[in-house]
Amino acid sequence: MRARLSDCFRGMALARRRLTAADAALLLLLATMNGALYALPARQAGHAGDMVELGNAATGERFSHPLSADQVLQVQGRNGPITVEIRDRQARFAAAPCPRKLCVHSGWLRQAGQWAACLDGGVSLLVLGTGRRHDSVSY
Amino acid sequence: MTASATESIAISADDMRIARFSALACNVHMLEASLPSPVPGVKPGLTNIITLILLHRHGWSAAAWTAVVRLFGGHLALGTLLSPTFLMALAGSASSLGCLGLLHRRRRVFSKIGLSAAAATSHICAQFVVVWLCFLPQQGLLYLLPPAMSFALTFGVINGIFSEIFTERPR
Repeated sequence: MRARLSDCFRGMALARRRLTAADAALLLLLATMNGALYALPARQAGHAGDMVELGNAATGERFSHPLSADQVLQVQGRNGPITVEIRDRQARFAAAPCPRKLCVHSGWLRQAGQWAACLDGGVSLLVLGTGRRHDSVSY
Repeated sequence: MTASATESIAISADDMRIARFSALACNVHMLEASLPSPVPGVKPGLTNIITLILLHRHGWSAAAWTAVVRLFGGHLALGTLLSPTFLMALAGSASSLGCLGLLHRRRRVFSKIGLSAAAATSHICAQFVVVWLCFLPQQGLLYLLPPAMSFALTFGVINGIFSEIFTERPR
């Protein structure tokens, strides 16, 4: 075991000797590229939506609102008033009377095809736009 | 008496070598598939050590043949031939072999550590391109790319170090 450990150290010393300036430059370049990818705002990728469709099962109505106009909407759901906020080309459930607030915790929706619903209130949000993303993928 | 077809095929030393290393690579491939992976899709890529050793000792052609035989043989043995994972591996192997071929021409400039890191990075990039184009064009994929590339770079360097160690020893 001791011999193998010393082999390992010998190997590391060998690798250090073999590492060339070009290797170091290449590794630096690859590491920089990798770091830049971490900084890349991935949320900007995909297809941003144009409209948000607000569905209300209590009244059977569906209205579309442009994501370009910031506004706060009050909807009367089955369980009480629900607040929907549209801001910076995103939409979300800002407040709802449901106990677990799953719809509020769904957060902001901005990509075409993104969807959230307050099941207690029967209110849903669906972002509309070109180039819809997949609902789900399984393999 | 008619000679059998196999007798008329001349098997060269190169063929024997490629067959031997391919068998070894297939075994390593299957061994690696059985290793638990903490992050989906992250593997150490141990077969790349074999590719690098062959590249160093016998040139790009032998390394490429072994990688191709290992790719088909390994996936056939695991039952994933022509599956999405196979297509990803195919794209990754083609990309990394191309990268190794280019950098191997400058083998006095780059050591096996640099070759291995570049090959591993190109491998993972090609896999992501295939996944994006064929299976999952979703923004969530972009969240997975940076850590996957970090793992590829790390394992690429480690595999390069092992390749240096193994090629230093007597054959």
